[in-house]
Amino acid sequence: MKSYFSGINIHSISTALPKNQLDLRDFEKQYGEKEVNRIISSTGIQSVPVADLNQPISDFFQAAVENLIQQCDLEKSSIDGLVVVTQTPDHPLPATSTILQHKLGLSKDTIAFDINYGCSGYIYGLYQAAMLLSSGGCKRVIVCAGDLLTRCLNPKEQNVRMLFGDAVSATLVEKGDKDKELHFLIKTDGSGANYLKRENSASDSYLYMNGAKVMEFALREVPPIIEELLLLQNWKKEEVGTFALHQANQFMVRYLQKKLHLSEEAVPVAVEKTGNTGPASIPLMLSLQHKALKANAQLEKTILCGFGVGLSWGAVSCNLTETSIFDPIYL
Amino acid sequence: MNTQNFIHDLEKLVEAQRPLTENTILDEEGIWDSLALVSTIALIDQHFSIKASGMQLASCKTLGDIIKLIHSFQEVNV
Repeated sequence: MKSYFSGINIHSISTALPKNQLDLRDFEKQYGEKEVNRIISSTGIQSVPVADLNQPISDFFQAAVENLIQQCDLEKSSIDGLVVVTQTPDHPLPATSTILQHKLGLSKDTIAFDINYGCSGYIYGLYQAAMLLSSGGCKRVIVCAGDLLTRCLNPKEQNVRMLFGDAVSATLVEKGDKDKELHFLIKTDGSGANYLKRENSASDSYLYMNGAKVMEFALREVPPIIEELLLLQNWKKEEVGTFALHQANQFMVRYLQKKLHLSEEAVPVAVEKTGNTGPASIPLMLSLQHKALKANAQLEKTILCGFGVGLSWGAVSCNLTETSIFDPIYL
Repeated sequence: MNTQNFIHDLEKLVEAQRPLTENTILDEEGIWDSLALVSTIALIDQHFSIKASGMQLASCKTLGDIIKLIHSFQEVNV
């Protein structure tokens, strides 16, 4: 699916994480020092944020959105769209977006809905926001993307326990000048649905990941979608300041960077204290590195690319030079 | 040359105790687990532009098996 929008502005980005950090060195007793060192050096992940089990994701979304509203001095009444992208909703029903609309005190004229997607989800959220705005139905949409995935991990499976962290993001998207363009490419391959899966919502059902299959998928699909978007946008690789890839782990991101023949500087990695945070990983990387990216003028031509559960993958080209990006908040 | 470089990178990847030969059983001389397997998929793609599957690599016990797997892809593409 290809889609082009003009006059859509990514206004601001805020992120929220749990205060509590799980140090991966704590796994040395379980797996041995050598094994833990080996995993840390490959993934680049030293620790991951872990939310308490009694903290619902709507609390984190609320904090991220309120930070955005406060920092940007926004009127709550001006927000008329709320899109929540998560695989860890407060409840199977109702939609977390409805709970969040009430917690935030947003107008009843707000359209609020959830999207069940993971690591590609941020792109889906932005796409939905762009559609709501371009249809004329909304003027300001907040995309909340994030997961509290650590509560879905089997404590006995190191391949997932040492990879995933909890985090959320809030992104305000609004109507803007005509030169604010977004070019989307989104793709789906449900034949790989079993490679990243959680069978049902029962509390004893853990996330399953076939790491080799996911690696094969990323190698096969991510470089071509980025090449296709570059062609569509008529951008040369070296003109693009930032390729904000889904932060699966250092190994995966660095590998894709080499595969695409890109510089390390153009493909930032920020997983050391976060791990893989699913749909929040792209905005979280921007939130952690925005000062350096702005200082180096790397945000004019930006490509965001998410890939994962579904299997699904998507990319969007955008200009983030005027986007207000804030440091993460912790709760 | 590609093969030499690949073997060198693979030795580092599996943390081999000594230089790998064709008959080296990977699981005995190094670490040949799911992490190594995933990394080797990327390594083969990087050196040979070949997309080996995890299942194919999981059936490889020795370095020789991996080299044979790579050659089988190359023969198909000739």
